[in-house]
Amino acid sequence: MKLLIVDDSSVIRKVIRAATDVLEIEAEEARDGVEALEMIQALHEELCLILLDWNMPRKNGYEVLLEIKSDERYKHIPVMMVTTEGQRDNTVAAVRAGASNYLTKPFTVEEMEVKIIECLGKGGAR
Amino acid sequence: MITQEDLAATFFDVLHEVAKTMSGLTIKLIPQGEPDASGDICSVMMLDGCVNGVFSLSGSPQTFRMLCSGMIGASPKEVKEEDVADTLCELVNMTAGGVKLRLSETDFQFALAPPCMISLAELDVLTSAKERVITQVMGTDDLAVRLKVAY
Repeated sequence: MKLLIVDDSSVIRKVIRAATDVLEIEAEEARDGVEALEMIQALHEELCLILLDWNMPRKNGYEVLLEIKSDERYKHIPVMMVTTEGQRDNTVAAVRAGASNYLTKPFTVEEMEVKIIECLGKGGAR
Repeated sequence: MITQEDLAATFFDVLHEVAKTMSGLTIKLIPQGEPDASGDICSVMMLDGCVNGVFSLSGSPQTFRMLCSGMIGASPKEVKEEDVADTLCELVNMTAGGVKLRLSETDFQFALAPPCMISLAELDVLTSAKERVITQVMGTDDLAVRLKVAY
């Protein structure tokens, strides 16, 4: 099973990858919402979790979340929103739209590990 | 109305928390004595909303290389050039996000915008017309980051 990291920041993707490496989960990366949807289409049968940044070029995380949760092929895949503090209100909307969890930036690698484990425990398979 | 002192303290506090959480580095305020800014890189976020302002962080590429190194758990030599600028923009993004939350009950309201890299000369142009300008220098013994808020 694979996890998909979606964030336009290469540094944040590397920080998240540090957590997936510790958990020994294979991870793929997308740099924006459009690339994420292309990868979800190609990989959806292998994905156990999607980590989705909110503010991204071309298509933001909330729009991607709505597309995932309205598509019968993808809606079962747990999604965790990763946002900055100032977007916490938006995150409530994301949880209502079907996000399984959220984590606000800044975060430590350890906090990310815990959140990933929580998400996989709720709805994913390792 | 929030005072300049409170605003400065809030920005410092949040940047301190962001740097500590993401890179493990503890930063402190450095008494004003303008460090040499030649060769510095700068990222800016426009603060649109009730305030019409500008928030920027700047410093030497080596400073943000060190911060990036702490964030991704790699040696400074292993940090790629593009990740240095990305680290700076992410620090601006996370700091602005934290400040926005902390000041949500005050008159200092703004929307988050994508941060972008600009030159210090361009920053001067952006901030020169603003009524109030806060400048703080902070860092460790080896690192110095200049924080500027103009509104």
